[in-house]
Amino acid sequence: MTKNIISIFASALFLFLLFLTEALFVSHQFEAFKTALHSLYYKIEDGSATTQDGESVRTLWRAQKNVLHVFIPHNDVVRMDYYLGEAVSYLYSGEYVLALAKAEVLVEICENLPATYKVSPENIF
Amino acid sequence: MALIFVRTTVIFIVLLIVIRLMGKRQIGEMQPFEFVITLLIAELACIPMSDTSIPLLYGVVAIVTIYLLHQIICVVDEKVRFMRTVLGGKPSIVINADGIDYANLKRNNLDVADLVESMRESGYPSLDSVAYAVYESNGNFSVIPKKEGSESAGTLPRIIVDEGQFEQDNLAASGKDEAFFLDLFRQNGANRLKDVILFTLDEKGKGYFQTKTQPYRVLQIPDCKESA
Repeated sequence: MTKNIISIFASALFLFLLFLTEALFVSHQFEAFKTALHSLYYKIEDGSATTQDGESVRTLWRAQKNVLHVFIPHNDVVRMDYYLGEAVSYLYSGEYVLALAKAEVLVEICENLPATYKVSPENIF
Repeated sequence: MALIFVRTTVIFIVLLIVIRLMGKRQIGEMQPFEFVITLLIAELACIPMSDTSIPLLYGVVAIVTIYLLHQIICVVDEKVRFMRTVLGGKPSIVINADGIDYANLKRNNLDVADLVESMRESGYPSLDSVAYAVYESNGNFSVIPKKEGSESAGTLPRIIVDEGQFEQDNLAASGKDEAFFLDLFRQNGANRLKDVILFTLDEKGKGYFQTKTQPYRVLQIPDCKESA
């Protein structure tokens, strides 16, 4: 009985710490990336964005996604890779309107993705 | 991952309720919650292992959640008597001194054919050779036999009437027709065929007869075919 109670508390604590780490880490990572994306978005909007800006955001994302893979489904990471790759490639070809559209999608994903991992009725059911 | 925890808990509870509602035939040698864990744990281990798009940690969280729920249920099961019945059910006596307890049988979503099958599997083909038969809460079937030397030993009773319906093959093998048995049932207090929940007949012409309202009787049928 005592062993059972100890194991209940131990596993509950393990899960709680894991949830806390995930919540803090994932939201922090997305916040940082969102700030970089917003900056890129405004630069594309006023036509001052360079390929260097795009590459900087991509480098930041690559550093973050290595750890994010542990916490979020890999398909979501791949989705970010895809849109970011398109946005940067449009910057290389100088197609700012298309790059802006991709950056818009990325900002939208960044704002909504962390919410899909939160405990809420729509996510549970 | 907290989402995985909540979803796992919800599915666990729903499965547990469904398994409890299904009755004892769905489980074998396990308590309902153990059966649910067996159902879930294999999938939880397999999916993150084979689907590389799911982080392995999701599988770990789900499995630890199942472990946590298991431990909680073990403690509750041990400490709260009422919850023991709610979670695991209770043994059901399906044969007692009056014969088949039809209400208990139905409560567990079992029918007379299941009972007869369980009896045969336990080595007691004749229903009148046992004093009590119990479906345990883990789905096991226990038989408490009557005293040794029962005259029905070694015979294989066949079901002639199963819950108000004739089993035509066994009826033909008995060498008697429906009218004969209906008349027999009438003489023994069952005016309608649907009142008879079970009538079996063995090679020696011995019949186990029970209606919904009366205790069982053993009837001797003359001139029955040996093949019955």
